[in-house]
Amino acid sequence: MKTMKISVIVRMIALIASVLPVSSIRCQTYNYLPFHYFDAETNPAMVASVNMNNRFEAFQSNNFSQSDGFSYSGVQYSKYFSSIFSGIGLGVNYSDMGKSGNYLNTVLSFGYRNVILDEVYIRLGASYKLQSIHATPGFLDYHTVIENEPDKKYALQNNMNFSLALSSQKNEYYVSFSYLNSMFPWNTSEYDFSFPKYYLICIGDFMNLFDKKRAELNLISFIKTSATSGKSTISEYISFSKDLRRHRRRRGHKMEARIGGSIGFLENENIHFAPYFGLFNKKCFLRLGYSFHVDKVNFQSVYSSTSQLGLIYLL
Amino acid sequence: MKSYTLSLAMALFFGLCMGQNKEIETVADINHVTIYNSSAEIHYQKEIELPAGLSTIVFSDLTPFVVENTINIGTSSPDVEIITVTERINYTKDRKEQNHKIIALEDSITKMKETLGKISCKLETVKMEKGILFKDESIGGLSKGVSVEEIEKASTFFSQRYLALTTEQYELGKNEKELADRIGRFEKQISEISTNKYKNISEIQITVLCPAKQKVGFSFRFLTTMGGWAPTYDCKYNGNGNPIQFIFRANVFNSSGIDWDNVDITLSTASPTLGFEAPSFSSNRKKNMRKEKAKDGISFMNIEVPNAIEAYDIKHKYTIPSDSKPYLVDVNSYELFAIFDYLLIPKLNPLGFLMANIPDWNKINLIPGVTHVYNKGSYMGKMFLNTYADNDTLRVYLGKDNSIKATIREENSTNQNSIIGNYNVDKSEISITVSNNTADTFRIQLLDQVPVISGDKAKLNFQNIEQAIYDKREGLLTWNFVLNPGEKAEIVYGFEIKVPKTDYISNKSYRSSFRRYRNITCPSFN
Repeated sequence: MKTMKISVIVRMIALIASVLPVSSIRCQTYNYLPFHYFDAETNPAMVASVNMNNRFEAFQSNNFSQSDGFSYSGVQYSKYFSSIFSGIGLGVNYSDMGKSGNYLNTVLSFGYRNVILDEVYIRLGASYKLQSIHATPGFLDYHTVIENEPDKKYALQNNMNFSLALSSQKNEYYVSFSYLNSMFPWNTSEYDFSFPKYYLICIGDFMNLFDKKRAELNLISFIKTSATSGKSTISEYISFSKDLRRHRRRRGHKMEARIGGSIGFLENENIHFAPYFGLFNKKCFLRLGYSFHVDKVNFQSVYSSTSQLGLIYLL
Repeated sequence: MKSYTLSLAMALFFGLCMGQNKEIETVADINHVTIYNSSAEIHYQKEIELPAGLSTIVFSDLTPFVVENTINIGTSSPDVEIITVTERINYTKDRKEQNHKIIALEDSITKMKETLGKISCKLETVKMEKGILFKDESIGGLSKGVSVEEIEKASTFFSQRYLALTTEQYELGKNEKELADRIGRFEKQISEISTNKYKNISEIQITVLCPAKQKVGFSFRFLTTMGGWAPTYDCKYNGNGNPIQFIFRANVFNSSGIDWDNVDITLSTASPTLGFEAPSFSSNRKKNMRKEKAKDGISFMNIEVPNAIEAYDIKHKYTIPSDSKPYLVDVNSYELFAIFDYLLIPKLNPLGFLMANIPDWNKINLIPGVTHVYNKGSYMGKMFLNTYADNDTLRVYLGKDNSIKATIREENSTNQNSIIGNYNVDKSEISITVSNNTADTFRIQLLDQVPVISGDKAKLNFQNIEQAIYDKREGLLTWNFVLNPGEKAEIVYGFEIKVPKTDYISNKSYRSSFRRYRNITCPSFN
């Protein structure tokens, strides 16, 4: 009976997370937006890279809706230790789902790199995620469950992400594979309880094929497998960005502009658009984005649109 | 001031009472020269019979390069009072002591120039004649033709005359060129013999007051910058167990314009050219900034000498002509106890460098100079010897010796073909064999150099260097050991450079940044 109850609660969480466009909720249910080659949580292998050394990132996403409003905020910090070819990352995410409840998600990432045949840089990484979920009574009866079922509580609150990345020396070309929401071996789906599994692949940067240094073109694809139904859906995205400066010069302290965006089929049902405008210099990148979905058949807007604000700063 | 006024009054009085001021012109003899490193103090002596009263003595034939305010005059008689001393250059008078060779050469040049002038005249004449003869060389007239015989005659005449004139022109031109070359050579020879271009002389005029007629000995000295000396040493090694022979000589030059004939010499390390001023310590910076200029073809260099001034009296008399050429003067010789060892740097040279370690060195007090090294009678070469030994033991290099040899073998390997790894690893194994083919036991100092690793990312690991002294900053490995006659020693060690494969810096050519190579010159057959 209790197992049943947990399963229902989890489904509800997953449903809320998926219904809210929500998208960038980094809890157990991922959507497209957090997926990126340089993301310490979904691609922990990349913390073992100088690109991620002393890197601080903050982000905020909001749908500004009064009826089903939600907001999502998070910070990440990563450091690379070149002497041991390893890096670590630490992230804290907070999702406020209005009346339903809120999540606090803490992520600890570790990555290690090595070199194959003097050319291919191989990186392996893992993220440990610890979650604290608070549900409002009447909406999610989650806290009641975790009080009485310590094993299930552990399974619900702890899981891991794994990734493997292969790249050239300066990451001009890369491919990464991630496996997200892996449960620990000692608490498998015995309780019929788990979050969706994700198989993620990032490939880039295609613009290097054309020697375009100030533009990026990447492909991201992921398969989401429901733990409860076993049903899998596939999503594909193309991500593009371009610097707006005219002349070739080194990045300095002066801010410059960049535009970019993503377009893709989310779970083969909706077309997802996420354009953004960014300002950057050699130390920081400030991004303002907008995300909306339309039905692929009748092009009607689905979900509520969100706006995103992000800041990356190299300390 | 009072005594000066009184003396002047007395002089005037005696002058009036005892008649006219008498001028005595004479030439004094140089009896001693104190030579400093970049100047010389010339001592003169002369006995003069002075009449009673006021006299003016003119010492002529002196160098025109007298340093102002350095003239110092004394008399043998305390009764004779020196009233005034002045120094002047006499432009009307040439130096008497002209070099005979120069005179002969100058005469030859004059004669040759005369001959050259005559040749030029002849050459001009020939050219003019050729011009006139062959200006409008048509044969015959307008009214009648020219016979074949006449043409033949004219042709013969022209060809013969043309040949004669051309030959003469050629000969004259050849002679002219030869003479011009010869004049040039003679002029060069004159400039070689005499670098001193100044022909004037200087005079010192002394006004003295003598109470009675008497013979008075005058001695005076002054400083000139046209002289100097530099040390030069001979270092002689006569085999292990024998003392080192160290011969101290000085290269002395004189370009004062006056020869120093058969004079006593004292060498000094003082610097008296500051003149008649109280000495003071100036800052080191000022000292370093002061640059010496070349004087009359002699170039100078700055060397560090001890604070204490050394003076060396030369036993024998020497003659130093005023030709700006260095003349060797024997100063002293020493026999010094020394410990010998061999320095081996097989990466640079397979042969052993014989080194002498001379203890208690600083007692000798020598200044740095060029040293000629002789090894068992063979001249090995010369070097500039810094004579200051920090720990009182001077280490002198005595040349290479092929009796002590070292051979080095180096094997390098890399991990470039490794499948996986975060480091580029470069391994080297070095084997050095040292052999002693002498009949003596020697201490050996063996040096080798390993790469110097900068930064904390690259790593350098050693194997088998426990017996060596490692200088991390210079990357030097030093082994000290003793080698008996006929014995061989083998040193095998290795090192490994680990350079991380970085994310940004290209690691393809990492080795060149750490390894040290030497440059040699070889022919290129392109």
